[in-house]
Order: sequence, then structure tokens, then C-alpha cells
Amino acid sequence: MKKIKVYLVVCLFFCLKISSQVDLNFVKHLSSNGLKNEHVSYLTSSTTSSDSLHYLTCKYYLQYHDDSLFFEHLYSSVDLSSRDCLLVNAATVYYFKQSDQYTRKWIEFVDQNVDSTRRSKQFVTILKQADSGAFEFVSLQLDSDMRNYKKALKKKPLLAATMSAVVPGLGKAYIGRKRAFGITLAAHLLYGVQTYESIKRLGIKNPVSIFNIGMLGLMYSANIYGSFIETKKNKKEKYHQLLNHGSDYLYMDTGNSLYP
Amino acid sequence: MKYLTVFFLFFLLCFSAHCQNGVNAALLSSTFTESKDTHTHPRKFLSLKDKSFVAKVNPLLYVGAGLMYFYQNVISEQIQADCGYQMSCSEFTKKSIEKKGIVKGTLKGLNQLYSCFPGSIYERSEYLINSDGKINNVLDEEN
Repeated sequence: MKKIKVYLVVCLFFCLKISSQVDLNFVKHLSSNGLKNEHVSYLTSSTTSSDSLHYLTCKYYLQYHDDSLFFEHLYSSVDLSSRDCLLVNAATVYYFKQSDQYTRKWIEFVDQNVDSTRRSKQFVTILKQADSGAFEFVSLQLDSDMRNYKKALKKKPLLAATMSAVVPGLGKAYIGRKRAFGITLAAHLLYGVQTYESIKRLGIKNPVSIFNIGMLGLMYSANIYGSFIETKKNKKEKYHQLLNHGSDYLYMDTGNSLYP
Repeated sequence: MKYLTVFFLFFLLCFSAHCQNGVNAALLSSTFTESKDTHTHPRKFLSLKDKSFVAKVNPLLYVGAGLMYFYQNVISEQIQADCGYQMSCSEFTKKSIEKKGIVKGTLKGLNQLYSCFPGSIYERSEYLINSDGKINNVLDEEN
């Protein structure tokens, strides 16, 4: 009886080994040696689709930076992917530096699926609470970035536009760009003086005066519209700056290797 | 002796001329080495792809594009304008007009011009500054 049991266990072991779809060590070898074509052919050679295969394919697309396919396979293997701390760290390090679309997608994924003990999740939680509660980062740089981001969140585009309408460029000083304020004000003053001079000497109906008035009007409108959009963009800029430093910080802490 | 002096003088002149040529050649080669010109890509006059018929026959579009083309290919090259942004202000204005229309595009372009000065990089976030010390407005627009 005992012999039969042993025999059965051995048979089962071999059967499992044979039916297993991918050899993890071989995938690791392909990944660490940068064998891109071989890697993808090996992963796509399997006819059946499974959670683990999606998980490994998702890692492959993360390594070779194919964002849309990465997310496609990530959502097909949520359970496995969200538990792999190496994948979560590497993706956080990478997607924190990407364009807004993928950054948002990744933050959403981490927020919904990743365990709260992971550092990436803790970082995302702090980000999500930026509007309200207190925050505490280990890094001074991140602390300062977070403060800047919170400051930028409070700035109102309409107020900036109104300020620029009163004094050209003042809206830019309001969002913290004092040099740009100086340049804008100086440009308006110089061109304003020139326009005034041309009106005084040549008369308002002169083509030169008409051109100058038109240009001054255009400059003034651009300054108001510019302050409005710059205030909006400033929020995103500070947010991405925080994410960039966050990415550096997480990388420094964990590295971005995908396989143990 | 007289001939010898003349020959010597001739030789000296030739040598100095040769030296001069060498110096000139060195000067020329150091002055006209291949520069890192940001305007290496040929600039299109207009990209009318996916534009409506009205936009294609609009004379204002051709006037505006013509003026911009003249500036980019004649004036900008002559004054060696070096923009503080990765995508130059004129190119950015052109792209903005294509994307947002003549009013918003022009205003956006002019607004970038206000921030186009050497010290502007100190007022922008670190991640937007590229290796050439220019502001990456392409990434800024994407975000």
C-alpha cells in the first residue's frame, strides 16, 4: 500500500511538471539576458490562457515598456500581480514617471488591489489624502514636494486670470513665478509706452498705431489666458514632480528587478 | 646673393602663407564644427491632414502659416534664436493653432513667449528640464 502511495505521488509530481505551462527559471533567464523575441515567443507559444500566463506576460510588457498591453494583462491577472511586490514596485517606479494617462491608471490599480502593507500603496494613500489629512514622508524632498503640491491645489485659475487683468503678469506671481511676472510686466509696459507714443505722434487712425493697439490687446489677452491655464497646469506639474521624486525614492529603496 | 635673398623671402612668404592657411584651416574647422542645432528637422509649411474643406481653403490659415514659415526658415536662422523650450515657441504656436484653433493657439503661443527667457527654468519643476537645460514643453502638454 505504501509503495503504491509513493508511486502515485511520484506520478502526480511528474504529471504536474509536464503539464505546467511555463518554466519560471527559464523565463527569468530570458528576462535577465534581455532576450526579448525569445521571451515573447515562449510566452505566446502556450495555447491555453491562464492567470499565471497573463501574470508573466504582464511582467514581460512591463520590462519592455508596452503600456497598453501591460495593463491588459495586468487586469487579467489581478490576484497574482497585485501580490507580487517586485512587480508592484517596478511598475510604481516606472509609471510614476510616465504621462498622466498611465500614471492615473496605475495609481487606481494600486489603490484598489494592492495590499496596504506595501510601500507603493502607502505612498498612493498619502497622495490620495493630499487634500485633507496630515502627511508624513521619510524623505525631506518628498515632504517639500507634497507641500508645494498642496499649495498649488489651493490656487484658483480664475483668481489668477483676474489678477493678471489688473496687473499684467500678477497671476504668474500668484502661482510662484516671479521672474515670469517681471518679464510680462516689463513687456507690457514697454509696448504700452510705444503704443502711447505712436498714438500721440501719429494719431489713432494711423496704421502703425492701429497695429500697435492690436498687438497690445493680443498681448494683454494672452497674459490673462496664460495665467488661467498656467495655474491649472501648475497643479499637474507639482503633482508629477512629487511622483517623480517618489519614483526615485522607491527605486532607491527597492530597486526595480522583476524576478527574485 | 641677391637671388638667394629673394628666394629666401619668397620661401618665407610661402611658409607664412602656408602657416596662415593652417591657422585659418584650424580656425575654420573649430568654428564650423557640426553644431547641435535644434532646428535640424525640416519644418513643414502646413499639415492639412484631417482638416475640413473650410479650413483648407481659409486664406487666413495660409497667411498665418506663411508668416510663421518665413520666420522659422529665414529670420530665426539669421538671428540664431535659441529658445528656452524643447519645442521652440514658434513651433509650439503652430502646433497649438493646429490643435486648439487660431484664437486659443495664438494666445497659448504668446503666453509661452512670456516665459521664454534664460532664468525661466528655475521656476519650473525639475522633471521638466531636459539634459540640454531646456524646458520639456512636450511632456508638459502631455500631462
